[in-house]
Amino acid sequence: MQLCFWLFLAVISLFTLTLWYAELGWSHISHTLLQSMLGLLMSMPLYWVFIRIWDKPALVRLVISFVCVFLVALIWTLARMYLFLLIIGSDNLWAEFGGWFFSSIFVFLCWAGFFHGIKYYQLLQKEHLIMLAAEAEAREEQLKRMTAQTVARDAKIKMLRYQLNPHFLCNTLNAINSLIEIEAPERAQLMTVQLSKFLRYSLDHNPDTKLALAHELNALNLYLEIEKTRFGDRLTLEFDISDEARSAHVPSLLIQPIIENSMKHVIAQSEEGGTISLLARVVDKQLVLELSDTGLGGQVSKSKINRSSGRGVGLSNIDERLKVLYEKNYTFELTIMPTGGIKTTIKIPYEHLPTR
Amino acid sequence: MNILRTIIVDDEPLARDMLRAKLNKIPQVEIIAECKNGREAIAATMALSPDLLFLDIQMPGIDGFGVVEKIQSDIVPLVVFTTAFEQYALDAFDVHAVDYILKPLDAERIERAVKRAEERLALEGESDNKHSIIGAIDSINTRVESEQSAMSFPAQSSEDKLERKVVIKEKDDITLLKQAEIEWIDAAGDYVCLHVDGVTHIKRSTLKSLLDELDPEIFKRVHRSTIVNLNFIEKVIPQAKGEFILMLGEYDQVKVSRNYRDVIKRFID
Repeated sequence: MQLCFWLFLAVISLFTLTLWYAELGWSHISHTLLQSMLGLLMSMPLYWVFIRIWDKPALVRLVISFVCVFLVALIWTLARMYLFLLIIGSDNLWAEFGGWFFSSIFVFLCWAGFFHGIKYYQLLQKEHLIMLAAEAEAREEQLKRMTAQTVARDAKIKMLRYQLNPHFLCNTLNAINSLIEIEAPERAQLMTVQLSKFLRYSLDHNPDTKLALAHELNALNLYLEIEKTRFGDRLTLEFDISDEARSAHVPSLLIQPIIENSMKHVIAQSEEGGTISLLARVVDKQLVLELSDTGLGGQVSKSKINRSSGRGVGLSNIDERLKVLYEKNYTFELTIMPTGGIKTTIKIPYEHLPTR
Repeated sequence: MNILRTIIVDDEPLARDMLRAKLNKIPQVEIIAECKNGREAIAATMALSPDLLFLDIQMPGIDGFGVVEKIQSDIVPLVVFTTAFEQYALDAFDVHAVDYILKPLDAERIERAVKRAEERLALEGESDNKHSIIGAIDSINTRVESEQSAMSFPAQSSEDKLERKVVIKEKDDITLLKQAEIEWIDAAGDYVCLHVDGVTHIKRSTLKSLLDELDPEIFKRVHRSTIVNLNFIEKVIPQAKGEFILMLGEYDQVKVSRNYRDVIKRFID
């Protein structure tokens, strides 16, 4: 760039000054070239100064730049005038000093202008690239965030699906439909309210929140009342909850899926129906929950129970939740009882609110 | 106007209430019984000989398919399945023209089903109601491996005098039933149902070709499409109109028509 500038200057001055004054001689040409070379040399310290003061405040830069330009222009003027004297020789040259100096200042101001122009252009380019990179990064970041959100939402939906079996919803609506058909509006209304309250409970409570067992049992009863309306006398319940256990904290909707399993695999599968029992006690600072069903009696072989570990899908989900909440401080066991029923035992640390 | 004597079968009380309420609005339907499981449905069908069965598929114990399998084809009434069944099963129903109503039930579909039942009953020339249903059950069961069933298996070597067996190809396996274990058999079109120890095996065969394989000494016809293994008869209950009911094994009952009662009489004597 530097070279181009000074070469250009040399050519310009050659064509304008030298040719104009028709001083076409080797001495003049060599003088023009030499003074350009000198200029090139002189601009180097200027360049160095400009780079040094690049980060200084604007006013300081302005003053220093102008002073330097003047200085360098002065030196250059003197140098090329001396050169002119040396090569061509003239008497009255020093009288023309003002003109020489004037043009020199413009040459170097011009040079300074070019310098800054190029420098700023480069800076702009660099910043543009940085901006592009930043933008790309931001976009990538956003994409990542969106993916994470989708995963989180999917998980949440799965949770909700798990809590609220769509089959249950469908069956309940069918039952309400039947109640309306047989003109039992009070029962239809009651069931609608129970369903609504149960839905509210499941939506209000994040699967990872803990609630008093008494609270959880209220929700469970809503669910069971609905199922009782559907299954009639085939569903028998036996609850035995100690007062101490009532105030214990449990993860919300922990028990309902287990009971739903029993409904599906025992009550709905057996002609006579069955009994679902829930026992809750506090033993050794641990809350012990025992859920059992009567199974299908003699009709079911061992292999069928293993096979029905379709039961297992929902239950392993519970295991996972407990693992997240209690790490290793919990027990979750399934035992097949001699009657063919399944007993689910859950032991978690006894946590409770200070009684108000 | 022909009255359709109808039995409702569903394990959920509310579902029965619903169906009863809807059917009560249709004058040509008379509900003669309501059953809450498959076992009751079979007994009621045997005792009451209804014209029409509204039959839930998902039921505890014997399900809706089981009911049809276990009732001898001679007395299977018209059946309308009420179901919340998966789509693939419904396709099978469509192919075999089995009537069904999807839950939740709506009045329009119920009326259409009753209308169809009336039409079929009017056509009535000893129609075989079991045939189309068994066809649907068979295609639901064998859907998984339609290619395998194409594999031919030598039904039976005529030399085999050791113990006669009947070959059944189901789902993934091939079962060899000892003839002596078969309690009774009924035919439904190009299918036969072999009842063994509470389980019904479906075989693609006609009753006639199966009869050729069976030991004529112990297998006797007791109805147009029903064969009984005499060794399993535990009780013979005389009915009105010169019919009999045979109690076979633990659960199964079979009706003997008047035309074949001599066989049983000879057996008792």
